[in-house]
Amino acid sequence: MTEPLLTIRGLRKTYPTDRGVLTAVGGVDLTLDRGETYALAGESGCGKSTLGKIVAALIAPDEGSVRFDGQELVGLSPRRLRPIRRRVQMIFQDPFSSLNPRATVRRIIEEPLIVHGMRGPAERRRAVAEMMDRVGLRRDAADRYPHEFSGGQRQRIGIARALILNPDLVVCDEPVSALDVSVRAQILNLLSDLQRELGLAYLFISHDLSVVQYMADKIAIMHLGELVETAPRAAFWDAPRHPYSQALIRARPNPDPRQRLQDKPILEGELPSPIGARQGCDFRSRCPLAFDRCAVEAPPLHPLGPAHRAACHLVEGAAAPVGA
Amino acid sequence: MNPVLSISDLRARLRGPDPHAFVIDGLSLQVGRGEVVALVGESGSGKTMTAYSVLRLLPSAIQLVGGEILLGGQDVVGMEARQLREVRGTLASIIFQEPMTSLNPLMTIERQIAEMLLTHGKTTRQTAPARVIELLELVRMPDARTRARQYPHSLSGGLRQRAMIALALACEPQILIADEPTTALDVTIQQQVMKLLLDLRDQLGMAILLITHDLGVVAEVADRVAVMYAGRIVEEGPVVDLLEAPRHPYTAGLLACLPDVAEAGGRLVEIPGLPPKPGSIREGCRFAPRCPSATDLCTRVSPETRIEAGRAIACHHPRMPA
Amino acid sequence: MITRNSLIGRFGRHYPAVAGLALLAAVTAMALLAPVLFPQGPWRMVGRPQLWPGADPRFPLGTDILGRDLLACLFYGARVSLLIGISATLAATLIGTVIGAAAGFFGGRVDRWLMGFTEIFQTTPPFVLAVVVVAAFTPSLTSIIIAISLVSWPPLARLVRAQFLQLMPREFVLAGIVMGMSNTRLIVTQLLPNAITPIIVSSSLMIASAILLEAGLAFLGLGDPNAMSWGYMIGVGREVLRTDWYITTIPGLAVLLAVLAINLVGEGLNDALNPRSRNR
Repeated sequence: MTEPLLTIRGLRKTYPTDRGVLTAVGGVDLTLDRGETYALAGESGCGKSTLGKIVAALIAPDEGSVRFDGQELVGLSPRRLRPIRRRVQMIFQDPFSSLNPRATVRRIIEEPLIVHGMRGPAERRRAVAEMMDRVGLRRDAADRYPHEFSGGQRQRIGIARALILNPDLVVCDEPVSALDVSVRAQILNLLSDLQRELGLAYLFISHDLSVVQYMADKIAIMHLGELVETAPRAAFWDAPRHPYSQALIRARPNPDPRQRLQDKPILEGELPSPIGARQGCDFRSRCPLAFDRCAVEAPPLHPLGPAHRAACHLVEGAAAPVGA
Repeated sequence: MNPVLSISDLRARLRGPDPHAFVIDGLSLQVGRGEVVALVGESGSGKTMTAYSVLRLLPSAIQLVGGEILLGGQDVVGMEARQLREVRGTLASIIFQEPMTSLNPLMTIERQIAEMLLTHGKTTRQTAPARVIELLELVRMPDARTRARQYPHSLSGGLRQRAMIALALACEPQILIADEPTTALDVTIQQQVMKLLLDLRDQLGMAILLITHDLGVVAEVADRVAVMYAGRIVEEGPVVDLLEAPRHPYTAGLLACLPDVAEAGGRLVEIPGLPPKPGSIREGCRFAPRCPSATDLCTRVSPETRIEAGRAIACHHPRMPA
Repeated sequence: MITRNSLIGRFGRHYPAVAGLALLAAVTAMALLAPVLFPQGPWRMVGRPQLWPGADPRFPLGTDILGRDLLACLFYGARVSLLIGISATLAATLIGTVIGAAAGFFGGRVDRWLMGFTEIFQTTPPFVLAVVVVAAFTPSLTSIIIAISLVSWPPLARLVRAQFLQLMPREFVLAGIVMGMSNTRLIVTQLLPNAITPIIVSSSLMIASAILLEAGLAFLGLGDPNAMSWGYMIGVGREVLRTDWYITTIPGLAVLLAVLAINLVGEGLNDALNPRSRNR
C-alpha cells in the first residue's frame, strides 16, 4: 500500500492571549489520500481554519507533524519548502480580499508560474488562457482588474491561481460561504469537476454541512480544536455517533417546510471558552447525554469502523467487529 | 383584519444619471398580525433595501420614488422626521446581521436599553433598571443581571444578538424586521436565536418580517414567503406550498441548486449567469436571461403579478401546480 | 494604465487641486527660467539698496538691503526651494518606506527595534534636530537636504508600517506565501503596490514641509551661504522688518503660495487615488 498523501499527527497550535493560553488546535490526527476530499467542519473558532493554514504551511504548529507525500513539512526552511508549495495550494474564503487589487487577472493567474520560474512568457500566456477556459472565465477577462468582477467570478480567478501549478493537494478554506446560493452551486460543481479531471485532493474546510455533504468523501467534525468524530461520508450521515455531530446534522437548515424549528430539539447553552486549561469533555455543557464521567475524563477518539472514530464515552467499545 | 405592514407598489432607485436604475421596482407585500413573513433573495435583490425603506433607513444613494408603506395604518413615506422617530421602535423595530455594529460599543447593555425606554417615555429613571432586566430575561439572556452591566464586546455573537433583540423589543413594536439576523452566527446558535424570535412572536403577538437568503431557515420558521429577484417579488405564498411546489422558475432554481437536494456525488443544478445590475434590463422579465423556460414573450413583456389560490406569481410560463 | 484617464479626470474635477497645480507649474517655470531671464545671477548688486517695489521700473519688486534685485532672487530662490524640497522628500520617502516596510513585514523583534529607533527621532522636535544636524556639519545644500530628510522620514515609516500591518493578513498576501514567493517579491509585487497611494500623497505633502524647514533654517542663518533661497531672503530682510517689510514679505508670500499649492495638489491626489472614491 502506498503512503497517504497527507498525514497529520498530534498537531497542536496555541496562542498566548491576555487572559491565558488559547488552544486553537489541540492534538489532531488525520490522514488524507490522493484524489480524496476530506472535509473539516465545525463552528467558528473550532480551529478548522488554523488547521488548514498549518497544512498550507502558513502557520507553524507548536507540536506535531505534517507529512506530505512522505516528507515532513514542520520545521522545513523556506527554501526547502518552496518545491512543496508548488504541490500544496489554497483557495480562500473572501473573494474580495484574496486577489491583489493592483494586478490584472492574467498577472494573478500567471504569478505562481513566474515565482517558480516555470516556462517562458509565451508558454505562460498559453497556460493562463487554458486555465481560464478550464475554470469558466472568458479569455477577454485577462486584462481586467479584480474589482470589475462579481464574487463568483473572482472565486474562479482564485481557483485558477491555485491550480496553475498543478498541485496535488488544495486546501479550500470556506470557498463558497461568501457566495450567493445560485453562484455557490456553480463553484461547487466546478470544484468537483476539476477534482475529477486533475486528480486533486481537497482539504475542504466549511461550516456548512450541506456543502460538506455534497463535497466530502470523508468528514471530520472539530470542536474547540479537537476532532470529535471522523467518518466516511455515508457512515457520517447514516450513523453519526458523537452527540455533537448529531446536533449539527439536526441544526442544519433544510429547505423542507414540514420540519419546523418549533418541533426540533435544539442545543442550548454556549460554547466553553477555548482559553485556559480544560477538563473532561469540552462538549458536556451543551450535551443532552452528558453524565458524571464526562466532567472528569476527556474521551479519546474510539475506533468504530473503517476510518470512523468518535470521541465520546458512550461509544467506547462499540467498534464494529472486524470485517463487518 | 388590517395588516400590520402593508407595502404597495414601492419603487426606489439609485440616485444618479440612470432613471431606470430601480433597486425596488413595484413591490407590494403585506404582513399580518403575528405573522412570520420571509422575504428571500440573493444579494442585490433589493430585500434589504425593502426592509430599510419600511423604517425610512435607506442610504443616501437610494431614493424612494413611489408607492405607499402603511405601518399600523400610518403612511411612512410622507412622514416628518419627528413622527418617524416615534414610529421607529414603537410600531416597528429592526435587528441587523451584525449586532456589533448596531450596538453602541461605549455603552453598557443596560444603558442602551434604558435610553431606548426613556426616549419613548416607556419608563422612568427609577423603574428602568428593573424593566431592562425583565427584557433581558425575556430574550433568555443567561445571567441577565451580570450581562446588563457589560459592554457589547464582552458578549459572544449569540448573546449580542439577544441583547439587540431585547433592545428592539423594548417598546413593544407590532412588527420586528429581522435583516439576516442569524447569518453571522453558527448553526446551533442560529437555531437558538430563531427559536427565541418565534417564542417571542407567540408571547407578544408581534409580526416578523424576516429578510434572509437562506431557504433552510425560511422552511423552518416562516408562515409565508416572498421571493425577490432584481427588485421585484417574483413569487409569494404559504411556506409549504411555495417550497414544495415552486411555480416561478427562479424559486424552483434556487431550491434545486441547494446541495441538500443533490444526489450524493451528482451534479448540482446551476442557475447560469448572474443577477442583473439595477437598470441593466429595461424590457421584459428580469429573470429571462437566466431562465430555462424563457420565450420571446419574456424578453419583450414584463410579466404582471397574478394571484391564484393564495399564491402570487409574476411569470409568463409558471410551472404547473403539482 | 487603464485608469489613467479617469485618474486625471478625477483630479481635474477637484478645482482647488487644479489651481494648486497651476501655481506649482508657475514656481517650476520660475526655477527653470531663472538663468534665462536673469543671466547675471541673484547675487549681483544691481541698484540702490532698499528700493520699494514699483519705485524703479527695472526692479518691479524692488531691491534688498544690499541692492540685489528681489525678482531675480525670487526666481533663483524657487530653484533652491524646489531642489531641497524634492531631494529631501525623495530621501525621506526612501528611508521611511524601507524602515516601515521592514517593521511591518517582519513584525516581532525587528518591528520593536525599528519602531524604537523611529521614536527616538519622533520625540525630538524636528526643527531642533534639523538645526543640530546642520550646525554639526557646515551648512551646505547637501547637509541641509540630509538634515531635512533625517527629520522627515519617521511619520512616513509609521504610515508604511501601518499599511503593511493592514495588508499582511489579507488573503492575497497569504496566497503569495502559499505560492512560494520570496519575501522581497512579496513586498515588491504584493504589498508595496497596494500601499503606494498614501505614500505618494504624504510624500507630496512632505515637499511642502521640507520647503518650510529650509526657509526656517536659512532664516536662522543656517542656510547654504552660496544658495539664494527664499529662507535666506527672509533672513536678510529681518533687520529692516519694521521699515522695509516688503523685503521679508515678498519671499514669505512665495513660500506661503508654494506650500499652499503643494498641499492642494496633495489633497487632490488623495481624492483622486483613493480607491473608495474610485470603485463605488
